[in-house]
Amino acid sequence: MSGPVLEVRGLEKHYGTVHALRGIDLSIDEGAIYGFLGPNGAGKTTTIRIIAGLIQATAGSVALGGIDLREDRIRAATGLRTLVEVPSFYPAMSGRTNLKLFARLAKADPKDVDRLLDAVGLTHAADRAVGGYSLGMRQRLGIAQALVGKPRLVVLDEPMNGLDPAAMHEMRRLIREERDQRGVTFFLSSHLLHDVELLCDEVGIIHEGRMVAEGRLKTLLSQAISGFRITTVNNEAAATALRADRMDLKPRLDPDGALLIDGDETTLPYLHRTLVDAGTPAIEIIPLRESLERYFLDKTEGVMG
Amino acid sequence: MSTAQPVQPGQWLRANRGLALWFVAAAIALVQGVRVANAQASLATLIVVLALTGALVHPLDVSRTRRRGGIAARAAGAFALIAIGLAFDTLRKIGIEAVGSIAFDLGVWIIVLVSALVERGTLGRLLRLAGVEHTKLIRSRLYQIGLLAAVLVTLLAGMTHEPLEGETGWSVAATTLGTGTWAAELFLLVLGATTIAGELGQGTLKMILPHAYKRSEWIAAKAIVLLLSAATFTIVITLVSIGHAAMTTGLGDVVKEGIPGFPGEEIPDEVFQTASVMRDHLQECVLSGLYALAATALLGLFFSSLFDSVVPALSAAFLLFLGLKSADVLLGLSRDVQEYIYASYPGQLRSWTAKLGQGLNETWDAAWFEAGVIRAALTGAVAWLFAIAWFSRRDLHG
Repeated sequence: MSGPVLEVRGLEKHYGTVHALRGIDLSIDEGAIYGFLGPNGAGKTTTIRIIAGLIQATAGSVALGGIDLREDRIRAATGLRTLVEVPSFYPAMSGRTNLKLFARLAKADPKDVDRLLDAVGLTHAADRAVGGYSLGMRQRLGIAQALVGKPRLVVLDEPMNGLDPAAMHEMRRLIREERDQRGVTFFLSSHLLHDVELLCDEVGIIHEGRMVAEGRLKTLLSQAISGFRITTVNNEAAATALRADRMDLKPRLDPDGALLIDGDETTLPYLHRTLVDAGTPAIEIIPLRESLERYFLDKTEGVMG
Repeated sequence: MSTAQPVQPGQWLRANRGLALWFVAAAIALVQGVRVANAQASLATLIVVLALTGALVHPLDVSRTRRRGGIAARAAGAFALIAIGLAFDTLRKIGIEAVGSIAFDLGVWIIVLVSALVERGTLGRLLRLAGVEHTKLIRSRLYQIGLLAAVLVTLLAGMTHEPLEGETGWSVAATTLGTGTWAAELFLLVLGATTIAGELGQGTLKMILPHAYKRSEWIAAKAIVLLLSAATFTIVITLVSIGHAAMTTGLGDVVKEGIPGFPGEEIPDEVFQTASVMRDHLQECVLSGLYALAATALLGLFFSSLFDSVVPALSAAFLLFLGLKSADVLLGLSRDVQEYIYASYPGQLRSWTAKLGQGLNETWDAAWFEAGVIRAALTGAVAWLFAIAWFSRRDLHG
């Protein structure tokens, strides 16, 4: 494992008085699958466009493989593949010809084209004009073009758009396979939190142009406690005591009769003392971990992506 | 944002030695092109465009560096090239000829090659991009229809041409060449104006640009392909017009029939213009037409770099084109002012050729070919330069 494949530092983008990005920092190690999450308008696509070299940052730096994109674009962008928003191709050309064009640009072996067409399930339609492709087919061709040659970092913006569940499953499998077998690093933005949870090792959450959380997915979710399942000597009495408490902890009983209480690690000492004071000390306290969706909503103040 | 460090001139030169060499090559080529233009040396004048644009691959592209001094130096260098060309042209007009020799030509080529090799990988990337762009172009319906239309228009112009008294194949060829070039110019303007804006509009630009190329290299590849298209259109139109003229009227000497003073007297026909002279004139018509087509396509490219979609790019390009073509009618520009516009020269040369081929007394002014070619080359080069300067700075949201 060498240094970060992608390192973004203090990235800012201003459109007049609108500050789309307000100092984004992120770092992705080789071989990671990084999920980039955020509500609409949070700055995900702006960040991706800067990495792709389509727009220029107002401030900050983007380094690919340790090389600043602005200092030496040719060396930095070698091995960078992207799929920004809806994939577009030359409509009069076939899927195969389109892919061959991108293979030439990427100095890839033309044989790679057939392998990728097969991998994304487009062999049957490869010689048809792309103008007649459905959105899902274009999306699959877009992913294929992003994997052509020897990519080091693949940036995918909403890669599952337009795909049916079976195709989404196939794409997840393909992404994992490319990472495991060819060591490709992925940076993907998605609204589909379930997909991110299934696919990514690391996530970054962006909100109003700022990074509000970043780290390994498992660590983030294990740190994030959404509540507690508590068993006391007398659960009914404990519930009554908690309902009467000025903090109004809103206890509920689960089907097994255990107490369910919302809260995080800061709630625990008070909760414990209240139960002891009520004469119903806890026998067992199990912290309840958050789902990615819940965590995402907490971090983005409830704004859905 | 990384802090900008002051750049020493020596340091800049070391870091950009390929660029510096290319500048020198382009300057020499520009001078050489201007020097030999009146000798119909199309190859040498083509070097002007290729070498100059080779240099322009780098100078205004800020995708590599954002050093303030660097950008200013690059812009100044590019404009200096044009100034050198203009200054030399002025010197030549007042009688100071430059040194001309085979060594000079060889020197240009050697420097161009060395500079291309020094700037590591540039040539390879440029050729790869040009290959991709060429594939896209020849597969586009617009290009195929345009080529077919230019052939048909030229052929129909020849077939429907009403022969005038004393007209030879040279006149017919010059006339049909003009009609075909007019059609080609429209299509090349559209090809140029849609080349970037069209890709931005249909969304393919965002698929291409993230690859490891500079934007200026991409523009250069587009421009090279447009120049190749201009050459293809010119070759096809020329072949059709000359082929038609040769098969119908013939392409021999232009003769004036001897008119006997009294019955029985035999007056031999007088050769008014030899076939060889007429061939030279027609060749100059073709070459000046090629340069005008290239300049028009590159003007289209410039407008294409300004807009996010095809409609405004096409509208702006057509407005300018109309202004250039009909500057007298639309803008009320005097003949003196129009002499600065490249677009009027090929038509004038064709008109002279048609009249001479008809046996009419007309003075052939060789300076017009030279002036037309230089103006077209400069217009194209400036349009290319501005396209790079603007496009390499743009945020692309399409």
